[in-house]
Amino acid sequence: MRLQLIAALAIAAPPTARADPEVAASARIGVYADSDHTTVTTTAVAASARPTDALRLGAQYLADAVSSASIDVVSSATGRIHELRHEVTTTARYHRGDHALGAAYLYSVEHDWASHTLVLDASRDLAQHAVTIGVAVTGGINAIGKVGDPDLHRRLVTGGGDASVTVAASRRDLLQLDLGVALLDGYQASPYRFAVYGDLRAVFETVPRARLRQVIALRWNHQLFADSALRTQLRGYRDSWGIVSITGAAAYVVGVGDFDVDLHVRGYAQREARFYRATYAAPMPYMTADRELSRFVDGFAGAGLAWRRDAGDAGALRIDLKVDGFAFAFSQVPAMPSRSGMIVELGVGLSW
Amino acid sequence: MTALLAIGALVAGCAHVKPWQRERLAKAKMQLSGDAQATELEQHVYESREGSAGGTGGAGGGCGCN
Repeated sequence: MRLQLIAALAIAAPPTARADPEVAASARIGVYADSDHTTVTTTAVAASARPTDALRLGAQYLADAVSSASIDVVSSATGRIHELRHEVTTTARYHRGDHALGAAYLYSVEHDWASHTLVLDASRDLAQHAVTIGVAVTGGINAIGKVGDPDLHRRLVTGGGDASVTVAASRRDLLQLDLGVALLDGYQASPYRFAVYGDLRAVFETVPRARLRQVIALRWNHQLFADSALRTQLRGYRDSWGIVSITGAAAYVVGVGDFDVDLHVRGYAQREARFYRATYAAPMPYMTADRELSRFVDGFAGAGLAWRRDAGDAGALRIDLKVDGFAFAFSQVPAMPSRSGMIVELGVGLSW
Repeated sequence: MTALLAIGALVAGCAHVKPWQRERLAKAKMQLSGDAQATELEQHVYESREGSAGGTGGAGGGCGCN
């Protein structure tokens, strides 16, 4: 998975408002459904405990259940597919004074894919905790197979680094700058997907073995009035395949008694990989039918409602519900010029 | 160079905010990460359906979602 550090932080961070509880537990279920006949149900449960003042240990189990009859699936003549992915994460985080160190191991497995990932991160507070600098490194090994072809064995090795600086820029403003780089080396195509050229001749797609990704992100949180905040993010991305993208996001969060209400929007625009074509006239060294490598724009918008009750030493409870709608517009995919759908999530967090 | 200038500007901007002036910044609504488990599910949706990845506090890796 590409979310190693986020997963690590999801377990290491208590899910409620209490500063540093002895034990924290959380569960979340999300349902994704789109107009491409795909439904994904994600369930995650996590727990963490603090055996000493400085150390927190955690674990999470996550399952993705996918049911799809998308154009990718139909074009590979397999009918509707049903897949189940399991992911287990274990974390350890040491925090003393101005320093924090973290380590996480993730194992993810599905019927045709297995991966092992290690994440190490460190951070240090400076200027009386007004500045935090952080670094993280990741490394992973992926084993890829194919249903119906026991002889297909491919490997993908991943590595990356990330550096961030977070600053209390004013009494009302938090800023964070994040720089990341990742290198992927190995099999990155889909063994199920075909590219078509000429007179409808189909070949398995092929993409370059190596992919270097670079990303820069700036986040700005601004406290507006009594109990509300505006969260914004701007992200730029490019990679060695020629993809360039920009992402903008904003969320407004306001507290009303024990409730938090948030409204959020996100927009994304991407330029295609240099070897992507809507149609190929003749065979090329690299050919793909992956619409994620095409030129497209997408937008997400939604609202969330969270209820929190903090009973001091007795513990804290948080329940939240989030609903989002989204739409994609693919300008280079004649078979599917648009995709829309909804995502609904329900989360519960406990700490004591 | 742009990134370095941005980092410099960020660090320079913090010098005036003392610890006792950061009460508002400590509120849960002002946290940059938000609910981490919700963020993980949200980022999974984006990264499995878009061509880019990263910039969320950790470097990217492989994905079993092709």
